[in-house]
Amino acid sequence: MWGYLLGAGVLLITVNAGAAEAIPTESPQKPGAGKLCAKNHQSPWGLTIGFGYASATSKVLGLKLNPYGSSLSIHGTYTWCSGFRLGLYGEGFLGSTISQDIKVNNGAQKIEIRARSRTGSLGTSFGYAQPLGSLALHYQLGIGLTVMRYDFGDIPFETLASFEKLNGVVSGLHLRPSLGLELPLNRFYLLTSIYSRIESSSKIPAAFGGLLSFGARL
Amino acid sequence: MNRPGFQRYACLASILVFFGTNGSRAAASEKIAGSPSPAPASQIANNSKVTILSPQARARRETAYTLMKKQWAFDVELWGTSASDIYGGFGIHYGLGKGFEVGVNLLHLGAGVFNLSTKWNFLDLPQFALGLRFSPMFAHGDWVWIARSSTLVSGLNIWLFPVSLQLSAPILPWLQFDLSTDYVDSLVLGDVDEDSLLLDGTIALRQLAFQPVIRWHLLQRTSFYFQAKLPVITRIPGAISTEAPLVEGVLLGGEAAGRSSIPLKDTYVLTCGARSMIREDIFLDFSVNVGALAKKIYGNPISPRLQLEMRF
Repeated sequence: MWGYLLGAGVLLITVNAGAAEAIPTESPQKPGAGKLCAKNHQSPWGLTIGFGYASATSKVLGLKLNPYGSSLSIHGTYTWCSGFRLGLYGEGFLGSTISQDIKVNNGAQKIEIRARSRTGSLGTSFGYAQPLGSLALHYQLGIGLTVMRYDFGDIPFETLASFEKLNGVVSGLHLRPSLGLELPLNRFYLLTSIYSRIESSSKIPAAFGGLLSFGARL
Repeated sequence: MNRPGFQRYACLASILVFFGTNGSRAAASEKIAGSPSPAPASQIANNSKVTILSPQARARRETAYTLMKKQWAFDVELWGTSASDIYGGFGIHYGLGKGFEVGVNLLHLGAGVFNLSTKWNFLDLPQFALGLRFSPMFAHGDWVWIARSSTLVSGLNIWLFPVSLQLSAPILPWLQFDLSTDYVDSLVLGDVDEDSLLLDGTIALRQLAFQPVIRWHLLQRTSFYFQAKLPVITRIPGAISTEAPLVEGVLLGGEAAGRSSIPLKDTYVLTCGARSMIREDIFLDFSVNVGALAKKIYGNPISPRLQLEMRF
């Protein structure tokens, strides 16, 4: 829910900014114009710390898992004058516990489990910052590794779905497209963004979330 | 037994020929305030006043607009939700002039699915434009090597005939409305599982859908848009059967597991996103698809879609 609210917030801010900045078609900006260039006496290096929330949007092999929830992230970037940026990020989620009834023995038996999971990830980001008046619109695609720790508690089985153990760690690659809006504040900036996570592992659910980041140009 | 509605296409084509003449389009193009004359795109690329609304840069997806004469477009796309871009695409398109463009999705072609597209922007007035898109698709199950091991397409021959009448109305310098009326007819030879992507993903179906789009253009280089795909009629063609055994070369009749149609709640897609002109020839598009269809295709009711497009 918080992810959706953050996403809606991004859109509202964007719409309001757009209403204020909309100008006639006769005065287009030059390509690459903006305040995101080292030639404008701003360092190309940036570091952001973000707080957010994400929620799983898919089931995993019939199980409800939400290894996301509240998150803390750190993101280092290098931005070229053209607006392209390259970065490295790390993101940790607190995860959550979901109680659910599942059918076992071909549906003959129903048991209750408490599926606890949390996740963390590391990745590389490729992005572009499009000047939008005094703001900047960030397009970004992250590619990285996700590690999920899970625990299904004590149940009278050795395996569950296709999880070989009742607790352990699984990993996989992820893609993380995102769209954000940056508000520069001198050396610092505020970035709100929405993102989606697509996971290659069938045991890690996809997610959608929002992030509020505070950044500084180093 | 069902056959593709060629009569319907012929009737629709006749109506469009009546309304759309090349002469009216060319004359209308010249009236566009501030727009370049209909010269080849390569000559216009040097014009520094290119904005996201310029003829060589405006959005073509779900709009009436097409590439300019001798203009090429290459696009890379991830996670589309329509038959022409499902899972992704690597498209090559070319503007033939007089509002015509042709294209092919090489990613689908590489996977054994023939996916061509043609589009004709037959009316282009300053505040109103109409276009017609026809993008036939053919897949022979044994050629789709990427899914050969699954039962999804094995033994199937699938023909799709999507036709779209697309309207665009840039009523203000910063506001544009689009409406696409899409009709897809399909012909499937073979046996289809009830929960197959072909049915649940509403790919091999007969469907009439409306797609209204609102675009908000900001600062010449970025547009935000909200789009709804609303399939008002989605029917399972009689050629698809999940009950009768497959008889090679014979069209199978009957309904799929008792279903003859799929309700709107299982087929709608809501999309919001942004499209930016990075340079005069490079465009980025990011959107989020929400709806049951995205969940059926990607197992995820909120799925992103990315597109990078280059035009020359």
